[in-house]
Amino acid sequence: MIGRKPVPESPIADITLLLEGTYPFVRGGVSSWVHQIITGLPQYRFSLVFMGGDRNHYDKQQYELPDNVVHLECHYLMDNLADAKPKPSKGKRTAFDTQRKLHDQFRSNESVPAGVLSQALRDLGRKAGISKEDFLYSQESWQMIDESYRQYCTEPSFVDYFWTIRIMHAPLFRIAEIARNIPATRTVHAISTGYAGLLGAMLNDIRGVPFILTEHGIYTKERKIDLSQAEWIRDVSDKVSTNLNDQLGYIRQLWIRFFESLGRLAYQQADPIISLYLGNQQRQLVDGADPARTHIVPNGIDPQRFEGALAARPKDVPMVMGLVGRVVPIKDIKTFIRAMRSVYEVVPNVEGWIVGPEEEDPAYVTECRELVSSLGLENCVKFLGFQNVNDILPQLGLMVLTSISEALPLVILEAQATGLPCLATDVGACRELIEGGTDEDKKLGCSGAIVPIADPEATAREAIRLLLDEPLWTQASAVGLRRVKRYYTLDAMFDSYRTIYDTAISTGYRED
Amino acid sequence: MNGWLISLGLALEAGGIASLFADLPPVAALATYFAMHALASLVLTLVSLPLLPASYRRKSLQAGSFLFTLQFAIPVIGSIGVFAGMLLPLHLPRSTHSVPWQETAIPELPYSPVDMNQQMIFSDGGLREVLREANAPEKRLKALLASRQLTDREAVSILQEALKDPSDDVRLLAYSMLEQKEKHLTTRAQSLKKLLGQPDHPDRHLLTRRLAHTWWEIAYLGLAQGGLKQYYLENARDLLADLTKTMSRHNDWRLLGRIELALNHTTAANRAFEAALANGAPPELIYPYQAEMAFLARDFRKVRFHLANCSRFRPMPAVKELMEGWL
Repeated sequence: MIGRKPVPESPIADITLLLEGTYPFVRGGVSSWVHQIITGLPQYRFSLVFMGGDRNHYDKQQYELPDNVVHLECHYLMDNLADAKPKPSKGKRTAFDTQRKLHDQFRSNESVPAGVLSQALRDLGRKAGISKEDFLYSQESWQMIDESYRQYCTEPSFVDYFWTIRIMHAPLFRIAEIARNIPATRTVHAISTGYAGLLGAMLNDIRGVPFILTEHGIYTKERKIDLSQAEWIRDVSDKVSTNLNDQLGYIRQLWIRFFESLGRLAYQQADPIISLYLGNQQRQLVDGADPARTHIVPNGIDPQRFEGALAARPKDVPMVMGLVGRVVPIKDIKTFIRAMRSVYEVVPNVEGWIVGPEEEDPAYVTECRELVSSLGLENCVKFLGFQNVNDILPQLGLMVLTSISEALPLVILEAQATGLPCLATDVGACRELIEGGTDEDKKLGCSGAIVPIADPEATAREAIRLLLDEPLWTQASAVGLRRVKRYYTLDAMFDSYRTIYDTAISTGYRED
Repeated sequence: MNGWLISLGLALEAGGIASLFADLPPVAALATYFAMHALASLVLTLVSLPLLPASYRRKSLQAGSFLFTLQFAIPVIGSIGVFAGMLLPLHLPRSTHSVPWQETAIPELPYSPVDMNQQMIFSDGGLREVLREANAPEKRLKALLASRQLTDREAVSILQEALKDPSDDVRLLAYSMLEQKEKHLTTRAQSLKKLLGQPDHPDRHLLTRRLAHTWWEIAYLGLAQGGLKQYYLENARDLLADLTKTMSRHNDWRLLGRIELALNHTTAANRAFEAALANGAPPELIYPYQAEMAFLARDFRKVRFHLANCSRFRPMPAVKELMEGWL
């Protein structure tokens, strides 16, 4: 555990933000949103708890913390769990029995009875319950792993199963430690489910702090997709059957169920559960969120911030397609590059700018650069790194977003605020932002075009249409400007969060 | 007789041991001991040989050597061991069970194997139908996962269809599966390009051929469409055109023909296929493409001609079906 910003004294914070792999170390939509919330609501004192995987991936702070941030602490879940020499122990039978009950509930896909959940969370990491040493070295722990393996595991390797269970559960002990040690706070606000959501659930249960959950993307869904294809998990293949069956390996399923369970625990404890648009709210309900607790609070921007960029826009449409976002697989930068190849055939003076930080996934950045060179686009596609959007947006003729998963991308709102038409994939709230959400909104018209994911041909076709058809471009530009000013302002978002925070704070908290 | 021999053996062994403690020079004492011990072992071997069961007595030289060696190598204990441990058990009656076998339960596997009866089983054709018709996204997801067992070409078209699925989960899974296939090929192409960048690489021809095959595979599997597909095909075509100029191999000509055909350059394709035949390509591999070109040119008489030519050789199963329809 490392405190990055030494705090002379630790006053009680109004809101503790639980941040997994994002602000203030990673740039992107979620981080921008967090920064907006903190700076836009200066009347509250914020404390930040950052959780990352490998500490080497988060070396430099990307945002200067506003004055109302009173505390920042960072934790890395992949750090070694045990530093002491292993010692045998028996382990507490009753504590492991509670864990058995908890896991039975997870397997049955039902919500966990409050008593069981509370006891299981309280036991975690305590000497009187299951300490991390008990988990790693006790007889009871071994017995529970052995029982579960014999009863449920459908793969023959006990070694794989054993180590999976250890690696999977090790971060939970660190999270339990964080939950016990973070400075007192009036409310906690997790920006995702997963480990951050679990920490929120623990703080709510163990320390009685009101727990707010906001989901931008749906964490469980994204993990599920990653894990379905992850190459570090090896499936046992069926060498005998000639049928096509849907079987995912047991270890793979175990990981997926683990994150599903974390998600359900967060939904069970959080109130309210906020999403950015209707589609994600429906998804939360399917995943077990209580309908009475779910709310939608869309993202917003301050159109005044972009007036300068709007005024700086040249008269002619620049033949520049821009993708503003982190260079990571979820943004599907490769589809943008492939589309550029087809656009280049028709519009030889076109340029494609990839504007966004490249630190998060260097291997993917290399793949993208190699794709550019293999498609012979070295003179056409440029990687500009992180840039000020106000400087970049007036120079673009089209904003392109080829993401395979999004929530409500701020970058589309920012582009619309500078009169820039957008071309986006049919994910998250992109269709609502470009074609309109409500009937009244739809009457405004389209501020660009929507294409299927991973379809370079369709992307290229629509890009050519929007870039070369000037009346269409002008109309899309005007529609976007009107839409963002009417429906997506920061004030509306701040008002919603002010109410949510005030309600949570007034509910009060109890420290056990 | 045996009693006498046993006594002699024991006496010789005792004498040998006594000589070690006698007032003799060390070498003489040791030599006396070994001589007497060897004699004792020999005598005791002669005693034990007739005691062996008949089957062992038939090979008396081997059995005798074995018993002698054992007794000589391990003084005293060796002889006791031979009598107590070997000869006695060989003559003791064998233990008999009332039942000649023992009944045991089939041991359980130490884990719970998958119950295949509870698995959703698909057929190749059914997979696409499930993706189109099934209402539950979970079912469509399972169908996608099952496509992992299809060949890449079959799977790619199914996955591309799934990219337009109304469910986010299905789309994302399809995307990630397609991406993995494409990444595999583009990574290979990139490393081949790097190797080809070395001007004096000894296997330039081989690398060029592999790179052309990789570009072609991306297009052939359907991983690229439109302008991008055209770009990959043209890249592969240029590589093969250069390669066939320096070395004329029928496989390279055949692939060049297929690429030209995919690019709709029928004249160039025809030229390449003719060159492939001239360089010794098996005719049954070339005629189907010539039939395809004739079909594209709407020259149905020629289609039949090429397919009929095919029948003289051993055509591929897929071509056989075609022949049945046309001839």
